[in-house]
Amino acid sequence: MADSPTEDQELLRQLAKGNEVAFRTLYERYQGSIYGFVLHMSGNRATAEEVTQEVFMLLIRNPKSYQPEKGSVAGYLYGIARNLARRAMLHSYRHVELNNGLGPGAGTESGLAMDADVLEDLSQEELIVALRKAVVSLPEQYREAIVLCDLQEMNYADAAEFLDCSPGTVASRLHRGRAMLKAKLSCYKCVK
Amino acid sequence: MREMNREVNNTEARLSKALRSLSATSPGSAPPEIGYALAEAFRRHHARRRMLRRSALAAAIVTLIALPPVLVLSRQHGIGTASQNAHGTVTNAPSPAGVHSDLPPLKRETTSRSGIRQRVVATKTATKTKMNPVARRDDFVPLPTYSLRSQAEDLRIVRLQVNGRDLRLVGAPVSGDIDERPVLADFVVGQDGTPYAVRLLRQNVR
Repeated sequence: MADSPTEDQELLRQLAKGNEVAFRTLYERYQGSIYGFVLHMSGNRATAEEVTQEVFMLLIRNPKSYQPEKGSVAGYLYGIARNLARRAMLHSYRHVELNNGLGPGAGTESGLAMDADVLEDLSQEELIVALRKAVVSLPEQYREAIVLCDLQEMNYADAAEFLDCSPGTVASRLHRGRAMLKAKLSCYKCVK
Repeated sequence: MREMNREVNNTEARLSKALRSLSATSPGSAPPEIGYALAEAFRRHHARRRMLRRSALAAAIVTLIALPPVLVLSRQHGIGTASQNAHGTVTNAPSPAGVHSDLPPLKRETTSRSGIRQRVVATKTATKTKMNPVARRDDFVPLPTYSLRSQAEDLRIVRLQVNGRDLRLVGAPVSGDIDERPVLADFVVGQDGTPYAVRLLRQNVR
């Protein structure tokens, strides 16, 4: 994820001194992944923009709040983004609930048996829309794993650092999250 | 069983593919306006920080420049006051011919002198004693040993508690009624311990 943790730390030191090039470099390096992470977590573009802006504003205002012994700069930024996104989502209650009115078994692994070929049957556009909604409707811990590992193609170790858990836990959450996704998509097909 | 496994694997693969598609269709970066706004905020923040730092630096320099003269002036003032005080102590040394009660604080001393039983008077004894307004005198009374020559000496005041008899022995004008009673008195003494004047402060009532 990070090009080099020590390089990031040096950039952050330079940023604290007022070096705009260092700030731009850090911003260009992480804005995309942070924006994508919040966008997939919240399913809301405005929230993603607000959170991305707020993460870097905090970095501008208080760059010394980063403690190298606690982890990488990337992990620190993701941590801020995660907390801000969680707060924003709690505040707005913009969760997309696919489960509502979809019948029993929706959103659970039991739904998987209903139609395994659902992904094949949906058009590409429909699939993406359905998948986006399904991801947003996942419980937070599974959603985080899916977003980081599947959508942002992060390895388990990095995801574990950002989520403050073990790589085994990440793998377990990912497996469970995927199963729930399949179940939700099956249900989507049922409704259609 | 094998069929089921194959089916599950296919579904997994399709899901992964779908997730990759979702990732690919999602915007890969924040809108550029956010970057511009942040760069502007960065510049503003650091311009303000630099201005504050410069102000603090300027204030520190001004303080450093202004401090030595102020210190010198206050020191000179302090020395002047101290010398005035020192002079005042010397001149306030009682002239037995009529020294008033506005004397500087008295030093307690335990200079031993023959013929006078002396004791350092503790403050705690004040609770046991009772002020006798008649016995208290504000003025020093010259003793027979006093002479004009003694004025040239470095005089000191010594507070002692002595008997009435001892007071009479050094020439203080006290009656024989208080011969056995302890009396608190200030003595103006010369460098050799000769008493030149006395001021009665209080008489302990037994």
